[in-house]
Amino acid sequence: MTFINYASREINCKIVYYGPGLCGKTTNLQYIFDSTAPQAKGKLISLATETDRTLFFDFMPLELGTVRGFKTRFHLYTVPGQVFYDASRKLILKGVDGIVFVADSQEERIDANIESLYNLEENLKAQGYDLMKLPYVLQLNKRDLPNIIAAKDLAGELQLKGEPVVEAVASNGTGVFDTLKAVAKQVLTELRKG
Amino acid sequence: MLKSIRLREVSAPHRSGTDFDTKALPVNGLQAFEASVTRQVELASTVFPRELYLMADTPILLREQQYHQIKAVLARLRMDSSARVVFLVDKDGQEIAVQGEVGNLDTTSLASLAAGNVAATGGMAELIGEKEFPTLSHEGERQSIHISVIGRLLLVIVFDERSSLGLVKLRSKQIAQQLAAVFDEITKSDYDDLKSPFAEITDEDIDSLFT
Repeated sequence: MTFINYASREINCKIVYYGPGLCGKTTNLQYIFDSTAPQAKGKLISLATETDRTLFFDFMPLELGTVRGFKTRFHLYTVPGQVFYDASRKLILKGVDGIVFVADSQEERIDANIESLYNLEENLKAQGYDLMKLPYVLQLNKRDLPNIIAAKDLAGELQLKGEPVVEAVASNGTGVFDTLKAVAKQVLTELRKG
Repeated sequence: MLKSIRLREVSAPHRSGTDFDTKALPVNGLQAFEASVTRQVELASTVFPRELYLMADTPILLREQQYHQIKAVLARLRMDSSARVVFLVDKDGQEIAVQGEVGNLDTTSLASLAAGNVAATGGMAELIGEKEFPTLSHEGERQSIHISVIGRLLLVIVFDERSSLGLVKLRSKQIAQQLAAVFDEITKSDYDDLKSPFAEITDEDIDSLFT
Protein backbone atom coordinates (compact mmCIF):
# COMPACT_ATOMS: atom_id res chain seq x y z
CA MET A 1 0.00 0.00 0.00
CA THR A 2 1.48 3.27 -1.09
CA PHE A 3 2.22 5.82 1.60
CA ILE A 4 2.56 9.43 0.51
CA ASN A 5 3.81 11.87 3.13
CA TYR A 6 3.28 15.45 1.96
CA ALA A 7 5.14 16.81 4.99
CA SER A 8 8.41 15.03 4.34
CA ARG A 9 7.67 14.74 0.59
CA GLU A 10 8.18 11.01 0.42
CA ILE A 11 6.47 8.16 -1.34
CA ASN A 12 6.93 4.61 -0.07
CA CYS A 13 5.89 1.54 -2.04
CA LYS A 14 6.11 -2.16 -1.23
CA ILE A 15 7.40 -4.74 -3.69
CA VAL A 16 7.38 -8.46 -2.89
CA TYR A 17 9.58 -11.08 -4.55
CA TYR A 18 7.67 -14.37 -4.71
CA GLY A 19 8.54 -17.80 -6.03
CA PRO A 20 9.37 -21.41 -5.11
CA GLY A 21 12.08 -22.40 -2.66
CA LEU A 22 15.66 -21.76 -3.80
CA CYS A 23 14.58 -19.87 -6.93
CA GLY A 24 16.77 -16.87 -6.08
CA LYS A 25 14.52 -14.31 -4.39
CA THR A 26 17.02 -13.51 -1.66
CA THR A 27 19.82 -13.51 -4.24
CA ASN A 28 17.97 -10.78 -6.16
CA LEU A 29 17.81 -8.63 -3.03
CA GLN A 30 21.39 -9.41 -2.11
CA TYR A 31 22.59 -8.28 -5.54
CA ILE A 32 20.57 -5.07 -5.37
CA PHE A 33 21.94 -4.46 -1.90
CA ASP A 34 25.55 -5.08 -2.92
CA SER A 35 25.28 -2.91 -6.03
CA THR A 36 23.54 0.11 -4.58
CA ALA A 37 25.26 3.20 -3.24
CA PRO A 38 25.23 3.34 0.57
CA GLN A 39 23.20 6.54 0.67
CA ALA A 40 20.40 4.95 -1.36
CA LYS A 41 19.75 1.97 0.85
CA GLY A 42 19.09 0.97 4.43
CA LYS A 43 20.03 -2.33 5.99
CA LEU A 44 19.33 -5.70 4.46
CA ILE A 45 17.47 -7.67 7.05
CA SER A 46 17.30 -11.40 6.58
CA LEU A 47 15.30 -13.60 8.91
CA ALA A 48 16.92 -16.87 7.97
CA THR A 49 17.56 -20.36 9.31
CA GLU A 50 20.91 -21.94 10.17
CA THR A 51 21.17 -23.05 6.55
CA ASP A 52 20.45 -19.59 5.14
CA ARG A 53 16.94 -20.47 4.05
CA THR A 54 14.52 -17.58 4.43
CA LEU A 55 12.42 -18.20 7.52
CA PHE A 56 10.12 -15.18 7.50
CA PHE A 57 11.28 -12.51 5.08
CA ASP A 58 14.17 -10.45 3.76
CA PHE A 59 13.73 -6.72 3.71
CA MET A 60 15.61 -3.74 2.36
CA PRO A 61 14.55 -0.15 1.79
CA LEU A 62 15.81 1.32 -1.47
CA GLU A 63 15.68 4.98 -2.40
CA LEU A 64 15.51 5.41 -6.13
CA GLY A 65 15.69 9.17 -6.30
CA THR A 66 13.41 12.15 -6.54
CA VAL A 67 10.45 12.51 -8.85
CA ARG A 68 8.61 15.82 -8.97
CA GLY A 69 10.16 16.79 -5.64
CA PHE A 70 9.13 13.58 -3.88
CA LYS A 71 11.66 11.05 -2.61
CA THR A 72 10.71 7.71 -4.09
CA ARG A 73 11.43 4.79 -1.83
CA PHE A 74 10.73 1.13 -2.42
CA HIS A 75 10.54 -1.41 0.37
CA LEU A 76 11.68 -4.72 -1.09
CA TYR A 77 10.55 -7.93 0.58
CA THR A 78 11.01 -11.60 -0.20
CA VAL A 79 8.81 -14.40 1.06
CA PRO A 80 10.02 -17.79 2.32
CA GLY A 81 9.70 -20.11 -0.66
CA GLN A 82 9.36 -23.43 1.09
CA VAL A 83 5.86 -24.83 0.87
CA PHE A 84 5.27 -25.17 4.61
CA TYR A 85 5.82 -21.45 5.29
CA ASP A 86 2.57 -20.52 3.62
CA ALA A 87 1.13 -18.66 6.62
CA SER A 88 4.16 -16.34 6.58
CA ARG A 89 3.91 -15.78 2.82
CA LYS A 90 0.32 -14.68 3.15
CA LEU A 91 1.22 -12.11 5.82
CA ILE A 92 4.01 -10.57 3.78
CA LEU A 93 1.69 -9.86 0.86
CA LYS A 94 -0.33 -7.44 2.98
CA GLY A 95 -0.13 -3.95 1.55
CA VAL A 96 1.80 -5.01 -1.56
CA ASP A 97 2.09 -2.54 -4.47
CA GLY A 98 3.95 -4.72 -6.94
CA ILE A 99 5.08 -8.33 -7.32
CA VAL A 100 8.05 -10.03 -8.92
CA PHE A 101 7.60 -13.75 -9.51
CA VAL A 102 11.04 -15.37 -9.62
CA ALA A 103 10.80 -18.60 -11.57
CA ASP A 104 13.48 -21.29 -11.43
CA SER A 105 14.33 -22.15 -15.04
CA GLN A 106 15.54 -25.69 -14.32
CA GLU A 107 13.45 -28.44 -15.88
CA GLU A 108 12.89 -30.25 -12.60
CA ARG A 109 11.45 -27.11 -10.98
CA ILE A 110 8.60 -26.53 -13.39
CA ASP A 111 6.02 -28.07 -11.07
CA ALA A 112 7.34 -26.05 -8.15
CA ASN A 113 7.01 -22.88 -10.26
CA ILE A 114 3.43 -23.65 -11.21
CA GLU A 115 2.51 -24.55 -7.65
CA SER A 116 4.06 -21.36 -6.31
CA LEU A 117 2.31 -19.22 -8.91
CA TYR A 118 -1.02 -20.79 -8.00
CA ASN A 119 -0.18 -20.23 -4.34
CA LEU A 120 0.55 -16.55 -5.09
CA GLU A 121 -2.85 -16.07 -6.69
CA GLU A 122 -4.58 -17.80 -3.81
CA ASN A 123 -2.74 -15.85 -1.12
CA LEU A 124 -3.40 -12.57 -2.90
CA LYS A 125 -7.08 -13.43 -3.06
CA ALA A 126 -7.03 -14.11 0.67
CA GLN A 127 -5.73 -10.56 1.17
CA GLY A 128 -8.32 -9.08 -1.19
CA TYR A 129 -6.03 -8.56 -4.18
CA ASP A 130 -6.30 -9.70 -7.77
CA LEU A 131 -3.00 -10.58 -9.41
CA MET A 132 -4.42 -9.61 -12.77
CA LYS A 133 -4.76 -6.01 -11.55
CA LEU A 134 -1.44 -5.67 -9.73
CA PRO A 135 1.87 -4.46 -11.16
CA TYR A 136 3.65 -7.72 -11.91
CA VAL A 137 6.85 -9.00 -13.53
CA LEU A 138 7.90 -12.55 -14.35
CA GLN A 139 11.61 -13.21 -13.93
CA LEU A 140 13.09 -16.37 -15.43
CA ASN A 141 16.08 -16.95 -13.19
CA LYS A 142 19.11 -19.26 -13.36
CA ARG A 143 19.48 -18.91 -17.14
CA ASP A 144 23.15 -19.90 -16.79
CA LEU A 145 22.41 -23.48 -15.73
CA PRO A 146 22.62 -26.37 -18.22
CA ASN A 147 19.29 -28.14 -17.67
CA ILE A 148 16.93 -25.26 -18.26
CA ILE A 149 13.67 -24.92 -20.13
CA ALA A 150 13.76 -22.62 -23.16
CA ALA A 151 12.74 -19.12 -22.12
CA LYS A 152 9.90 -19.05 -24.63
CA ASP A 153 8.45 -22.31 -23.34
CA LEU A 154 8.80 -21.37 -19.69
CA ALA A 155 7.22 -17.97 -20.28
CA GLY A 156 4.46 -19.71 -22.22
CA GLU A 157 3.80 -21.88 -19.19
CA LEU A 158 3.95 -19.18 -16.53
CA GLN A 159 3.01 -15.88 -18.13
CA LEU A 160 -0.43 -14.75 -16.99
CA LYS A 161 -1.35 -11.44 -18.54
CA GLY A 162 1.30 -10.18 -20.88
CA GLU A 163 3.49 -9.05 -18.02
CA PRO A 164 7.13 -8.20 -18.72
CA VAL A 165 9.35 -11.29 -18.76
CA VAL A 166 12.99 -10.84 -17.77
CA GLU A 167 15.67 -13.48 -18.18
CA ALA A 168 18.08 -13.40 -15.28
CA VAL A 169 21.05 -14.85 -13.52
CA ALA A 170 20.56 -13.28 -10.11
CA SER A 171 23.85 -14.60 -8.77
CA ASN A 172 25.82 -12.40 -11.17
CA GLY A 173 23.23 -9.64 -11.42
CA THR A 174 22.04 -10.30 -14.96
CA GLY A 175 18.48 -9.05 -15.28
CA VAL A 176 18.16 -8.12 -11.61
CA PHE A 177 17.85 -4.36 -12.10
CA ASP A 178 15.85 -4.83 -15.31
CA THR A 179 13.32 -6.76 -13.24
CA LEU A 180 13.22 -4.14 -10.52
CA LYS A 181 12.87 -1.38 -13.07
CA ALA A 182 10.03 -3.17 -14.84
CA VAL A 183 8.00 -3.59 -11.67
CA ALA A 184 8.84 -0.13 -10.29
CA LYS A 185 7.75 1.43 -13.56
CA GLN A 186 4.37 -0.28 -13.33
CA VAL A 187 3.93 0.78 -9.70
CA LEU A 188 4.71 4.41 -10.52
CA THR A 189 2.44 4.26 -13.56
CA GLU A 190 -0.36 3.08 -11.27
CA LEU A 191 0.31 6.10 -9.07
CA ARG A 192 0.01 8.31 -12.12
CA LYS A 193 -3.47 6.93 -12.67
CA GLY A 194 -4.23 7.91 -9.08
CA MET B 1 15.96 -22.83 14.10
CA LEU B 2 16.26 -19.08 13.94
CA LYS B 3 19.84 -18.27 13.17
CA SER B 4 19.85 -14.60 13.74
CA ILE B 5 18.61 -11.32 12.48
CA ARG B 6 21.41 -10.21 10.24
CA LEU B 7 21.75 -6.48 10.27
CA ARG B 8 24.29 -5.02 7.96
CA GLU B 9 25.44 -1.57 8.87
CA VAL B 10 25.65 0.32 5.65
CA SER B 11 24.32 3.77 5.93
CA ALA B 12 22.49 6.12 8.15
CA PRO B 13 18.90 5.03 8.60
CA HIS B 14 16.21 6.76 6.68
CA ARG B 15 14.22 9.18 8.66
CA SER B 16 11.33 11.20 7.52
CA GLY B 17 10.25 14.69 8.29
CA THR B 18 11.41 17.14 10.83
CA ASP B 19 11.29 16.83 14.56
CA PHE B 20 8.27 18.34 16.15
CA ASP B 21 7.86 19.24 19.75
CA THR B 22 4.60 20.03 21.50
CA LYS B 23 6.52 22.55 23.56
CA ALA B 24 6.71 24.62 20.40
CA LEU B 25 2.95 24.77 20.23
CA PRO B 26 1.16 27.58 21.99
CA VAL B 27 -0.54 26.09 25.06
CA ASN B 28 -3.93 27.21 23.81
CA GLY B 29 -3.26 25.66 20.44
CA LEU B 30 -2.37 22.30 21.95
CA GLN B 31 -5.39 22.32 24.22
CA ALA B 32 -7.63 23.22 21.30
CA PHE B 33 -6.11 20.42 19.26
CA GLU B 34 -6.62 17.87 22.06
CA ALA B 35 -10.19 19.04 22.54
CA SER B 36 -10.77 18.68 18.83
CA VAL B 37 -9.35 15.16 18.87
CA THR B 38 -11.55 14.24 21.83
CA ARG B 39 -14.60 15.47 19.93
CA GLN B 40 -13.55 13.43 16.91
CA VAL B 41 -13.22 10.33 19.09
CA GLU B 42 -16.68 10.83 20.48
CA LEU B 43 -18.14 11.49 17.05
CA ALA B 44 -16.36 8.56 15.45
CA SER B 45 -17.42 6.22 18.24
CA THR B 46 -21.01 7.37 17.93
CA VAL B 47 -21.36 7.28 14.18
CA PHE B 48 -19.15 4.38 13.14
CA PRO B 49 -18.56 1.00 14.66
CA ARG B 50 -15.00 0.93 15.95
CA GLU B 51 -13.96 -1.79 13.50
CA LEU B 52 -15.27 0.22 10.57
CA TYR B 53 -13.55 3.48 11.22
CA LEU B 54 -10.20 1.83 11.86
CA MET B 55 -9.93 -0.76 9.16
CA ALA B 56 -9.92 0.96 5.78
CA ASP B 57 -7.30 -0.58 3.50
CA THR B 58 -6.69 2.50 1.43
CA PRO B 59 -3.45 4.27 0.55
CA ILE B 60 -2.26 6.65 3.21
CA LEU B 61 -1.94 10.25 2.09
CA LEU B 62 -0.57 12.33 4.89
CA ARG B 63 -0.98 16.10 4.83
CA GLU B 64 1.61 18.25 6.53
CA GLN B 65 -0.83 19.39 9.18
CA GLN B 66 -1.94 15.83 9.92
CA TYR B 67 1.65 14.70 10.16
CA HIS B 68 2.33 17.36 12.75
CA GLN B 69 -0.84 16.42 14.62
CA ILE B 70 0.39 12.86 14.89
CA LYS B 71 3.83 14.02 15.92
CA ALA B 72 2.27 16.17 18.64
CA VAL B 73 0.31 13.23 20.04
CA LEU B 74 3.42 11.06 19.96
CA ALA B 75 5.49 13.75 21.65
CA ARG B 76 2.97 13.99 24.46
CA LEU B 77 2.90 10.22 24.83
CA ARG B 78 6.64 10.02 24.88
CA MET B 79 6.81 12.64 27.61
CA ASP B 80 4.05 11.07 29.71
CA SER B 81 5.49 7.58 29.45
CA SER B 82 9.15 8.62 29.87
CA ALA B 83 9.91 6.56 26.79
CA ARG B 84 13.02 6.72 24.65
CA VAL B 85 11.31 6.59 21.27
CA VAL B 86 7.69 6.38 20.16
CA PHE B 87 6.73 5.28 16.65
CA LEU B 88 3.53 5.06 14.71
CA VAL B 89 3.74 2.35 12.08
CA ASP B 90 1.26 1.04 9.57
CA LYS B 91 0.47 -2.68 9.87
CA ASP B 92 2.16 -3.15 6.50
CA GLY B 93 5.44 -1.91 7.95
CA GLN B 94 5.44 1.70 6.75
CA GLU B 95 6.78 4.12 9.29
CA ILE B 96 4.30 6.99 9.65
CA ALA B 97 5.91 9.12 12.34
CA VAL B 98 8.54 8.87 15.03
CA GLN B 99 9.29 10.97 18.07
CA GLY B 100 12.15 10.77 20.56
CA GLU B 101 15.83 9.94 20.91
CA VAL B 102 16.26 8.33 17.52
CA GLY B 103 20.02 8.73 17.23
CA ASN B 104 21.39 5.91 15.10
CA LEU B 105 18.32 3.76 15.50
CA ASP B 106 17.27 2.29 12.14
CA THR B 107 13.64 3.27 12.32
CA THR B 108 12.79 1.90 8.87
CA SER B 109 13.97 -1.59 9.77
CA LEU B 110 12.34 -1.42 13.19
CA ALA B 111 9.02 -0.48 11.61
CA SER B 112 9.23 -3.39 9.19
CA LEU B 113 10.16 -5.88 11.90
CA ALA B 114 7.46 -4.61 14.27
CA ALA B 115 4.87 -5.14 11.55
CA GLY B 116 6.25 -8.62 10.83
CA ASN B 117 6.16 -9.38 14.54
CA VAL B 118 2.53 -8.31 14.89
CA ALA B 119 1.56 -10.14 11.71
CA ALA B 120 3.17 -13.36 12.95
CA THR B 121 1.62 -13.20 16.42
CA GLY B 122 -1.70 -12.23 14.85
CA GLY B 123 -1.49 -15.38 12.76
CA MET B 124 -0.87 -17.40 15.92
CA ALA B 125 -3.83 -15.68 17.60
CA GLU B 126 -6.12 -16.77 14.80
CA LEU B 127 -4.91 -20.33 15.05
CA ILE B 128 -5.97 -20.53 18.69
CA GLY B 129 -9.26 -18.74 18.04
CA GLU B 130 -8.35 -15.20 19.10
CA LYS B 131 -8.96 -12.21 16.84
CA GLU B 132 -5.54 -10.78 17.58
CA PHE B 133 -3.14 -10.05 20.41
CA PRO B 134 -3.70 -6.34 20.95
CA THR B 135 -0.43 -5.74 22.77
CA LEU B 136 3.03 -7.25 22.59
CA SER B 137 5.90 -6.65 24.99
CA HIS B 138 9.54 -7.60 24.64
CA GLU B 139 11.69 -6.99 27.69
CA GLY B 140 15.44 -6.77 27.40
CA GLU B 141 18.17 -6.19 29.96
CA ARG B 142 18.30 -2.47 29.35
CA GLN B 143 15.84 -1.67 26.59
CA SER B 144 12.33 -2.92 26.03
CA ILE B 145 9.67 -2.58 23.38
CA HIS B 146 5.94 -2.37 23.78
CA ILE B 147 3.62 -2.60 20.75
CA SER B 148 -0.09 -1.80 20.76
CA VAL B 149 -2.33 -2.66 17.83
CA ILE B 150 -4.74 0.19 17.09
CA GLY B 151 -6.80 -0.81 14.08
CA ARG B 152 -4.44 -0.66 11.12
CA LEU B 153 -1.82 1.15 13.17
CA LEU B 154 0.91 -0.06 15.47
CA LEU B 155 2.07 2.12 18.31
CA VAL B 156 5.63 1.09 19.09
CA ILE B 157 7.30 2.35 22.26
CA VAL B 158 10.97 1.82 23.02
CA PHE B 159 11.80 2.45 26.67
CA ASP B 160 14.58 1.87 29.19
CA GLU B 161 15.06 2.05 32.95
CA ARG B 162 13.64 5.57 33.04
CA SER B 163 10.20 4.07 32.53
CA SER B 164 8.35 0.82 33.26
CA LEU B 165 6.14 -1.58 31.37
CA GLY B 166 3.16 -0.65 33.53
CA LEU B 167 3.50 3.06 32.80
CA VAL B 168 4.03 2.47 29.08
CA LYS B 169 0.98 0.21 28.90
CA LEU B 170 -1.17 2.71 30.76
CA ARG B 171 -0.13 5.71 28.66
CA SER B 172 -0.42 3.89 25.35
CA LYS B 173 -3.90 2.72 26.24
CA GLN B 174 -4.87 6.28 27.14
CA ILE B 175 -3.61 7.68 23.86
CA ALA B 176 -4.92 4.93 21.56
CA GLN B 177 -8.28 6.52 20.87
CA GLN B 178 -6.71 9.89 20.12
CA LEU B 179 -4.43 8.34 17.55
CA ALA B 180 -7.28 6.31 16.09
CA ALA B 181 -9.33 9.47 15.70
CA VAL B 182 -6.54 11.41 14.01
CA PHE B 183 -5.93 8.52 11.67
CA ASP B 184 -9.59 8.10 11.01
CA GLU B 185 -9.65 11.72 9.89
CA ILE B 186 -6.72 11.02 7.60
CA THR B 187 -8.33 8.04 5.91
CA LYS B 188 -11.64 9.82 5.51
CA SER B 189 -10.25 13.13 4.27
CA ASP B 190 -11.14 14.47 0.88
CA TYR B 191 -7.92 14.68 -1.08
CA ASP B 192 -9.28 16.22 -4.23
CA ASP B 193 -7.27 19.38 -3.61
CA LEU B 194 -4.04 17.42 -3.27
CA LYS B 195 -2.47 17.05 -6.63
CA SER B 196 -0.73 13.70 -6.94
CA PRO B 197 2.97 14.27 -7.41
CA PHE B 198 2.80 11.50 -9.98
CA ALA B 199 -0.15 12.81 -11.97
CA GLU B 200 2.08 14.25 -14.66
CA ILE B 201 5.01 11.90 -14.37
CA THR B 202 6.53 10.91 -17.69
CA ASP B 203 8.24 7.73 -18.78
CA GLU B 204 11.45 9.76 -18.89
CA ASP B 205 10.98 10.68 -15.21
CA ILE B 206 10.68 7.02 -14.32
CA ASP B 207 13.64 6.03 -16.47
CA SER B 208 15.72 8.74 -14.82
CA LEU B 209 15.38 6.94 -11.49
CA PHE B 210 17.40 4.05 -12.88
CA THR B 211 20.20 5.88 -14.57
